Order: sequence, then C-alpha cells, then structure tokens
Amino acid sequence: MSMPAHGWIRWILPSLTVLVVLLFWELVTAAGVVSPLQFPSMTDSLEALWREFGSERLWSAVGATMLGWLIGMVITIVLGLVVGTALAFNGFARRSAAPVIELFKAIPSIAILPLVILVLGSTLPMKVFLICFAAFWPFVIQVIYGVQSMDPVVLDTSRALGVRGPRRFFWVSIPSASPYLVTGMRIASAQALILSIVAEIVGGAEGIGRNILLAQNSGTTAYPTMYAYIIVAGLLGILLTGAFFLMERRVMHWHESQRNIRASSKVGRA
Amino acid sequence: MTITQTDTAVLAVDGLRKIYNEGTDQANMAIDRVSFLVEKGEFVCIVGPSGAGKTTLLRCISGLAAPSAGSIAFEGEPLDSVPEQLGLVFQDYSRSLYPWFTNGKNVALPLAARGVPKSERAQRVTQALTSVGLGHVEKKYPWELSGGMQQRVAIARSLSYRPELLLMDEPFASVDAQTRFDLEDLILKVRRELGITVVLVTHDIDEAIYLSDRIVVLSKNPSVVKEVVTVPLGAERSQVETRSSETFLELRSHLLSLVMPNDD
Ligand SMILES: Nc1ncnc2c1ncn2[C@@H]1O[C@H](COP(=O)(O)OP(=O)(O)OP(=O)(O)O)[C@@H](O)[C@H]1O
Ligand SMILES: [Mg+2]
Repeated sequence: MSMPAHGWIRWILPSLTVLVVLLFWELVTAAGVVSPLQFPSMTDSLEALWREFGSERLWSAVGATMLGWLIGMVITIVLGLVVGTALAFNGFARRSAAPVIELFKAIPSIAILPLVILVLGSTLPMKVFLICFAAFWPFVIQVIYGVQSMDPVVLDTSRALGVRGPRRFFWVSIPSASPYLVTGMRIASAQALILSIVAEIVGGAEGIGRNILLAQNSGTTAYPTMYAYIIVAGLLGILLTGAFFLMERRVMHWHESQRNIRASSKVGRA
Repeated sequence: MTITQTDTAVLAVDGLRKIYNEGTDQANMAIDRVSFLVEKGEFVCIVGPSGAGKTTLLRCISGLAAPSAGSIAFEGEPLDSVPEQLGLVFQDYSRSLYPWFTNGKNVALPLAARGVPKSERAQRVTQALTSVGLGHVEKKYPWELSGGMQQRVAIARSLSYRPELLLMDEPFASVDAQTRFDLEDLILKVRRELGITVVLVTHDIDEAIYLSDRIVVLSKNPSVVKEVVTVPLGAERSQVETRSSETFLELRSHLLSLVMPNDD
C-alpha cells in the first residue's frame, strides 16, 4: 500500500470493533444476564471452534457446503449468461418472459423447499436445485440489464469490424456488461450460500447447516459447537465476499471505477 | 450531376432516403434524396450543417442501417451488411475503442474476426500502428493515451485489414488544432501509400477542401445533395501553401455561399 497510515487504520478499526463485540458477548454471558444454557459464553464457543478446526468433521462439512455453492454458481452463471443475453437481444422473447421472471423471483426459495425435498430427497441435487432457484433470477436480471445498457457505439463497432457470433459474445457483450455481471454474481453468491445452509438445516443435506442442527439436537453441552458452526458460516460469507471483491478488482481493472486503483498500486510497486 | 461509369465505382449511392421511426407518428426524415458516386482511389468529403443527416448517411453507406428507399452498391454489389472490405472510423473514439482490451488487442480484433492466424496478427498490428505513427503502445490501454493518439489507434484498427474503402465520421472533430493538422496529413499519407478510397464526413469546409478530390455538399435536414464540388488542388498538399493558394480561397468562398443557410 502506498499510504501506510491509511492501511493501518483500515485494519485496526474493524478489528477493534470485532474485539469489542466479543468482549461484550463474554461480559453478558459471564454476568448471567442470559442463561448459559441458551447462550454459551464467547470463550466456550471459540474453544469449540478451535476444537472443530482440528477435526475432520468441520472440513468435510465446509467442503460439502462449498461444493453445493460451487455447482450452483457454475450452473447459475452459465445458464444466466446464455438466457439473459438471448432475452436482452430479443425484445419479443423478453417481453414474454418478463412476467415469468418477476413471478419466480418473487417466490422465496424456501417456499419450494418441501416440494424439492419430496422430489429429490436430502441430496446434493436437492441443494443445488434450491441454490440455482435462488441465485438464477437475480443474476439473469442483471445480465439482461447489463447487455441492454451496452453503448450502441460499442455494438456498431463490433458490427463494423466484422466481429460476430461467439467472438462478439465473449469479447464485446460480456466485457461491456461486466459491471452488471459482477454485481449479479455477488448477489447470486450470497443467495447461494444462504440457500446452501438452509438446504442443510431444513433439508438435511450434508454440510455446515446439518452440523448446526446436529449440535443443537445433541443437547446443551453441544451448544458451543453449534455456535462455532454458526461462526464458520459467517466466516465463509465474509471470505466469499472478499474473494468476489478481489476478483472484481482484477477483472475490472480497465473500468473507470478501478483505473485510479490500478494507477496508485503501480506507484506503490515502483 | 452526371452518372457515368456506375460499374467501376467503389461506392454508388442512388436516391437514398432515410426515415427514422417510419410509419409511426414520430416519423423523422433525416435524408430525403441523396445520390453520388465514389470512384476507386478517390478522396470524397461530405459536408453539411449540423443535424443534416451526415452520420445517418454514413451508417447507411456502411451497412449498419438500412435505407428507407434507394440503393447503395459497394463494388457493384448491393449492400445488406457491413462488407469485409470496408473500414469505419467513428467520431467518438473513446467509445469505439474497447477499454477492456489493450491497443494491440483492439487493432487485432478485426484481424482475428477475419481468420488471420495468430502468428501473423502481431506483425500486422505493429505494422498498422507504425503506419499511423505510433510505436510501443500495444501493451497500453486506450484510456492511457491522449485523444489524438486514441484516434490514431482507431484509424490503425480500421487499416489493419487493408480495406478498399475507408469511411470516417468527423474523425478529427474532438482534437486540438495542431493534432488535427497532423492527423489530416497522416490520413493523406496513408491514403497515398495504401491507395485506398476514402469518404470522410466533416462540418469543417477548410478541412474538406484540404483533403478531398470532390466534396458532396448536403442541404440542411432532411438532406439532399446541393452540389458536388470538384477540388482541383492536385495530389500534393501542404497545410501552409495549399490553404493560402488562390484555388483554395475561391473554393472556400464558393462552399461558404453554399452552406450559409440564408443564401438559399
Ligand atoms: N437513432 C435515431 N432515431 C431517430 N432519429 C434519429 C436517430 N439518429 C439521428 N436521428 C435524427 O436524424 C437527423 C440527422 O441526424 P444525424 O446524426 O445523421 O446528423 P449529423 O449530420 O450527423 O449531425 P452532426 O453534424 O451534429 O453530427 C436528426 O434530426 C436526428 O434527430
Ligand atoms: Mg454526426
């Protein structure tokens, strides 16, 4: 970083806040404001978290959750790009599809959970279907917006240069829509993680969510473990958001919003 | 205007009419009736007041927009899409160069689309950039260059695949006067070296006289051809001498009288 003072402040302030919240948690439980049976202390929970970090159980749960997330995201992105681009270029199809998209977007994925469990059982396909259902609609809408907001000069240029077909799709449409696409992916990723964990808690598929439920079912002594898994779910969310932030900076380095970052990091490296 | 040698012309525009939103209550006639020919190797400028329909005309000629009536033939073939052998330079280079690609990749784009093998592309990109006086910008991004340099990259991009006909829409309108003179001389040099045909739209009468062999003067909107003026200035031109020559000044006053709106 070119400005160390700012770098420090950027890290210290959030860390302090986290520390304060943790201390507050410990104080509340230690003072007996809430019963330890309902709400374990911070130290107990972190101890359980530490223990779980060393166990294979946690990592296979994280693996299962992330696998569902990944498959769901890949399907959502590929399908969303194809369907969204096709709809953006075809006014008739778009007007016909708009009410359907709005309707499906309005259905909370959890509402179809019982149906999906009934049909697919407590399986990975069940989880993936649910993830896709939650992530696809917001993503496809971003794709449509992105492709439609394409500058007509950009499109004219590609036609004038004879760039068409898949080349136009990958070299022109996708990059020009990319500000919308990365936003759509971020939304889709958050949705995918939430639905992954819901599918595990309610639907019983393997993953962090099921471990939360198992810990809850094995009595009060396992409550700290349950909190440990809840914390893991939160950490995963932060990690994914961070990863998307980094990806956005890399992929979108050419965009107006990122150019000064590129320039300043160049100075920093020199 | 006498129509001769229609079959040898690179570009034949005949009775072109363009109505936007045709058939609706917002119908707007941009071009009424425009006909002209461009012979091989010629440099033709199109001048007309703002809003005359010059950009519309160029979009029709390039095959980007369909005319409402009339016909356009490119090398004797009727036009239905943008021909492979046509180069187009847009007025707004900052929007027409792709910011997500480096200058090298931007120039290579039409080559890749035409199936030029990768090994040959790099060399042709360098060649095209050198021909517009740019070196060592392949790895930079368009937005890292000045306006004049960006327009050079755009010109290099449309020259990289060696088109028969180069169409330019007010290509030098948004650069400073000095850069403008440089780019004018550049385009004359490129045209001489490559022997390509150029059609250039401008609202600057001096620029039109300096560059062209013939000038198509359009009326105000909806446009018709007011007159086609021949420019007998020869092949060699220089900014200082040509612009102060007797012929230049005569043409200038003649064209001014044509485009001044209250002289009708
Ligand atoms: N896409 C469009 N839809 C409807 N009307 C249009 C469209 N593009 C241009 N026009 C209209 O056509 C007429 C001619 O526009 P055009 O852009 O061709 O003029 P121009 O000669 O290039 O002007 P300028 O010198 O300002 O660039 C104008 O009245 C304009 O409003
Ligand atoms: Mg124009």
